[in-house]
Amino acid sequence: MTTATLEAEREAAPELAARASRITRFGGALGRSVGPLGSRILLGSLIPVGLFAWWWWQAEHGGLDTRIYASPRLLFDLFVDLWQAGILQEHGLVSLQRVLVGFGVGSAIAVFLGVICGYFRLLEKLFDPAIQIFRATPTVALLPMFLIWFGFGEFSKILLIVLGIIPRTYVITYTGIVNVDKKLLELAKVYNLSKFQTITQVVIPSAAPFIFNALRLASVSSFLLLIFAESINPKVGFGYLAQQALFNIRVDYILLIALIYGVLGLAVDTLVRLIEKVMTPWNGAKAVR
Amino acid sequence: MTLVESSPVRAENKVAARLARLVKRYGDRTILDGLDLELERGQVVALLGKSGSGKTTILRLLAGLEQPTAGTAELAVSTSIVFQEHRLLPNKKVWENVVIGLPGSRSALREKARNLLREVGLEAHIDKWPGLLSGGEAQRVAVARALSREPGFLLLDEPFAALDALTRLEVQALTMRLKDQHGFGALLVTHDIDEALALGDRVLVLREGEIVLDARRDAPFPRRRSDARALELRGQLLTLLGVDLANY
Repeated sequence: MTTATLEAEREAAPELAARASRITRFGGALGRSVGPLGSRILLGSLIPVGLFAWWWWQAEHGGLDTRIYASPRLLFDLFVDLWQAGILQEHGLVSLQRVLVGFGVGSAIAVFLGVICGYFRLLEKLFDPAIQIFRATPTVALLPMFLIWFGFGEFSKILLIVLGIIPRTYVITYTGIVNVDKKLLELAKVYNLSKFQTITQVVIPSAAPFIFNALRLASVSSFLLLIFAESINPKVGFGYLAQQALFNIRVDYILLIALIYGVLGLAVDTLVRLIEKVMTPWNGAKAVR
Repeated sequence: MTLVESSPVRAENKVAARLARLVKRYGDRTILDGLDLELERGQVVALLGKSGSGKTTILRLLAGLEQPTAGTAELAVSTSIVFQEHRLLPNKKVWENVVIGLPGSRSALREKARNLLREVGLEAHIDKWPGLLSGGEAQRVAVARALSREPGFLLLDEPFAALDALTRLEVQALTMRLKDQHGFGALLVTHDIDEALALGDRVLVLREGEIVLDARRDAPFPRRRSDARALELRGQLLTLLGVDLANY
């Protein structure tokens, strides 16, 4: 580094510091004026909205080939058309139902297994090897088998989501359970809590951050698995719409569906976070010491 | 660890706990090798010892948290325990922690918890999450929780060690006041000589699994930490614990 650049940096330092403090003050002021949730939403939407604005500008004024890249306006028009025709609702509801059932059943099984295997040594010995073998198997690769065994109906599709999210959800839940503070378990013993009380009042609440983290990941996986599940011979659902769009080379169609997936994924993630906040209020009540 | 208001300890009404030919080994490491000890009701017995001397092991054997390799550790009265850490469940409100594991309706339990919290001066915090309490407050809640079992004997595993010096004095004084009101005895495991002298009716020193000193303190409470007997004992204890201040 030359003396000149050092000089320049030294001169720039107060300016940088001032800018940093302005940014901090801006953040603080934002938090004060719109609240923590408001500032979260405001800041969180900056990047997506910015990208969208850039795309829109390029399509409208920058000569972007909208046959290949579509445009926000095309997407919006398409959305309105499909909505008014009731097509989005029809297919969307079916897809959403598949995701929710798959996510609900899969995560319930996984969390249950994670809790009992994490808590009872014997059950861990019984279940864990099987789950680990299963974990190493790519569930998506089994889809054709499901179709052969269980047909092309709803069952195969939901089964793919269920089996797809179980391994990771199980592993994270299990990790949360075995990491429960042994001292609290000892306390439960000393104060005569039954096994059931210990699990429900000590173990699961302690592992709650892990469990909810697992559920958030599982909710995202559910949507990814849905795409696979709906990719083979769909008759209804977003997957069907996407496939039709692909046959007809409708970029706007495909992008719209991708966008809807994204928004739904965000919605489910937000919902899980909200449930976590409501169900574990004590995690917000910690003094820093 | 419930009421052991039962036969194994013979009906000597004075005895609260008895250890008989107690042996505890972890692997090939022997912690206790045939220890005999009787603890009396209503007495605070301070058990001093260096780390690894086996003092916490004795307490944990009495609490039923460890099983003896041989011999017996029995309690003749109901007991509860206060640990060095408060061990409050973060997901339960303060009052729910106080009455944890007790049977009864929520309203009755809450009332019971309220009374106990009043005794430790924390009634105002009844509906707080434990995460918002200071260290001293949390430990006082832990004391209230121990009292909720109406114990005849308290097992205290260095319960004041993690507190700052001023808070420690407060919680010590509170515990002794509660002892006077409730009449429980206690086994106080500690490595703090002054604490042992101030609180103990009887001071034991454990060294390599053996009791090497068994001294009575009959001065009335509150004890001055500097009375002649205390100073004499203090010197003795320091020597027994292998602390020779002249070497420093």
